[in-house]
Amino acid sequence: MSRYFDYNATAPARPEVVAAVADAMAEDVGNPSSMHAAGRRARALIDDARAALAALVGAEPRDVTFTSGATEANNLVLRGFAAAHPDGAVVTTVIDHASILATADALEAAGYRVERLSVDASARPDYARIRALTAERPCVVATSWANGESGHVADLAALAHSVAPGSLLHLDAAQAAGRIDVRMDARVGSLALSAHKFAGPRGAGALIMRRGATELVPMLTGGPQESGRRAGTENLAGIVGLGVAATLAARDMHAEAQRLTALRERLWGALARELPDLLRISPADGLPNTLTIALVRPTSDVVVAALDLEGFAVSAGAACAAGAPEPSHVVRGLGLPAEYRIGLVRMSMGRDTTRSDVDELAAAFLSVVARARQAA
Amino acid sequence: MSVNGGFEKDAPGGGAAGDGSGKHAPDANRRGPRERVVVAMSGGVDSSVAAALLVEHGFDVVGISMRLAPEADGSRASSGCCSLEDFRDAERVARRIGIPHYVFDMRAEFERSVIGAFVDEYLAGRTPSPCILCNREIKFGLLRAKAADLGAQRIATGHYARSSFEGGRWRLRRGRDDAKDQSYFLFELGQAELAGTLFPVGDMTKDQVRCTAERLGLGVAGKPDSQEICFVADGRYADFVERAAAARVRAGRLVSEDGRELGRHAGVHRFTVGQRKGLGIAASEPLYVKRIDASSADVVVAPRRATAVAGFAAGGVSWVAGVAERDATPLEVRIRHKHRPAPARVFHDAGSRVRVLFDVAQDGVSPGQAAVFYRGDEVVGGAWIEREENAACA
Repeated sequence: MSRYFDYNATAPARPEVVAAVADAMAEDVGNPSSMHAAGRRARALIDDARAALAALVGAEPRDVTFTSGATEANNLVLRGFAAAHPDGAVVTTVIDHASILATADALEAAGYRVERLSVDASARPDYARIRALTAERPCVVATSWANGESGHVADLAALAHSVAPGSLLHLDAAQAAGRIDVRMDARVGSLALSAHKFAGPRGAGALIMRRGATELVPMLTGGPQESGRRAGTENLAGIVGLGVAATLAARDMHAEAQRLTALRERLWGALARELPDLLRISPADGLPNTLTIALVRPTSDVVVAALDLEGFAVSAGAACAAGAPEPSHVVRGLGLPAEYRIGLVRMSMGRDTTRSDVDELAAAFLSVVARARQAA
Repeated sequence: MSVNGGFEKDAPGGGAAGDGSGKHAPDANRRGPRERVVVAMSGGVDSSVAAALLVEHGFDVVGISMRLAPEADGSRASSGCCSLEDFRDAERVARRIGIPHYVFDMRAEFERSVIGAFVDEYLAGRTPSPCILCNREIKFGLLRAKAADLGAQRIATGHYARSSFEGGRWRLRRGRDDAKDQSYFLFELGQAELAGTLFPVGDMTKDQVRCTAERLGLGVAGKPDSQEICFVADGRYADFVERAAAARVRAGRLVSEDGRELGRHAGVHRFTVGQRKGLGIAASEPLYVKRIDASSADVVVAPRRATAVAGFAAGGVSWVAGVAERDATPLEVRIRHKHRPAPARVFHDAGSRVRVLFDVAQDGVSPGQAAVFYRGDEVVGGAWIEREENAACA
């Protein structure tokens, strides 16, 4: 039984991953940059992980650059692209992740051109505007494959069609990889992902970029690791764990997606039956594991705290420094009614979530809301 | 550790039923679920000890830190309250005493109901009391409502004040520690608020509170006291007002009581009645601000002997008991936080207005400040000073 409904924040590592990480740390492996046998063993482990990750997203192993996570990968693409294309621009949307938006802010403060596109109620940007912007100058169009707060999945065909040649389509696949089909086909320039979102270890992730997609100036300089894209001794144990998690995700993903979609609809049904004023934010064709809703009363801080006191972990959206829920920029960006803006609650499921967990969460949620509405 | 007087457990209206004698065993010793109490935790020593004492007495304690000031985002060093660092302290204390702790973002409400009024009051030539507004609107308003949403019928704070149920109603009294008493800031609490509030440190001295923090290893025993106005970290109120509302600042004249211009000033928000420093005028004897007229932007100054006033008119009167004291009742009236309450009579006026006549004229009667009415240790009510009055009114 699991009362953890915050897989979009981080997914508990699978036991196979924990074992692989422990083995990688315990084994007699050297520095992958070393010539000797211990170094070769380390290189072999990293090569295996690289192949496993490439297989998950249909990329070539040589396209994979291991990083500390999607935040670093997004930084590497945006900053690396900007440094290589001084006359270019960053194009993103107002509902994207902080690792894209804050990096864009920093680039803009340093004089780089940035376009933040608004989105409609289905999280779609203005594709014609992307076409116009990318026709003018080389742009990195950086947006989520799947939005972690709202659960919306990007319309890849429309997006890819709107990016003119000479620009890079970069997709932050942190919430998508290992959960839905993420394919590195000819339309996609690069992907960012984090292992801990698909039950791998924290502190491991990757930038996957099609060869020749664009020129990139590395952020970290030093040794020649990762083909010169990311200097520094490799996070061997993390990378090994990432590889194992990628293999498990590739195997289980489709069955899990079906199972979680059914659980998500069961949860929504149980809540919506009792609370007709509940607003559903995550769409039916969105992330299978994510149900994001908004309510006017009580506010999300109360819901998250009250459910925590009952032992359930849910979220009010992306975390902030103080740990306090803030009005969601995603809710604002989607143009939802003002009275719902401080009432976002995200329930995200995963491997260990069962039907009875969902039923118990629904019951606890309803009693928390009923108590608060009585108190008013 | 004895159960303190500021710690009433069994009176009606609170979370537990009882006859109001306060003699029953604590709730926690009864069968059935423990009473849930939400503690407002600033990360300082007073609210930390308040939370720890409630845990010792068996309550189901939930700690909540309120994010209030707009700059409390880690971009500044600790301002003594509400900084990221203080939230971490609160969280450490909560972990130490084994209670859940949450940070709630109340910046929007605080900005609207406390900071906005603070700026408006200064620009209107008055001296605001933001802590009293914060208590009414935020701690005993919004937080109490959220606590109820969480299933807590009572909240607790680290205020140095005492409450008790006597003679069929809730009473509010000064804190045991005279130097730390905060009852002035709580005069707008009524029966419902007092029934739903615990003041666990109200019966202790600051030294006892620090010793308790030390004894329990809370790690905050030596933290300095927070300053009075948490959202103006550097204490420069005038600069804060200018940053918040530059377009509304009006320069004006410094004038004598007979209307002679003695100098110029950069805005009425820079002055408080009774202020001596920073007037920037040379005179044969020290001059004090006597009156501020925001409509003409005139600041009237006078020598010390001319600044005392016989009384004042006040509005927005509030009575702790819920009903007014008899007309012309002799009470002691405190006209600012550190003021020694002065004997006076309080006369009813139209609506929610009163007129206060001191037995002996007082200095520093500042429009915008609260006048709090005491009978000995007990706070019976208070009102907001509107203007001085020198004509006899009784």
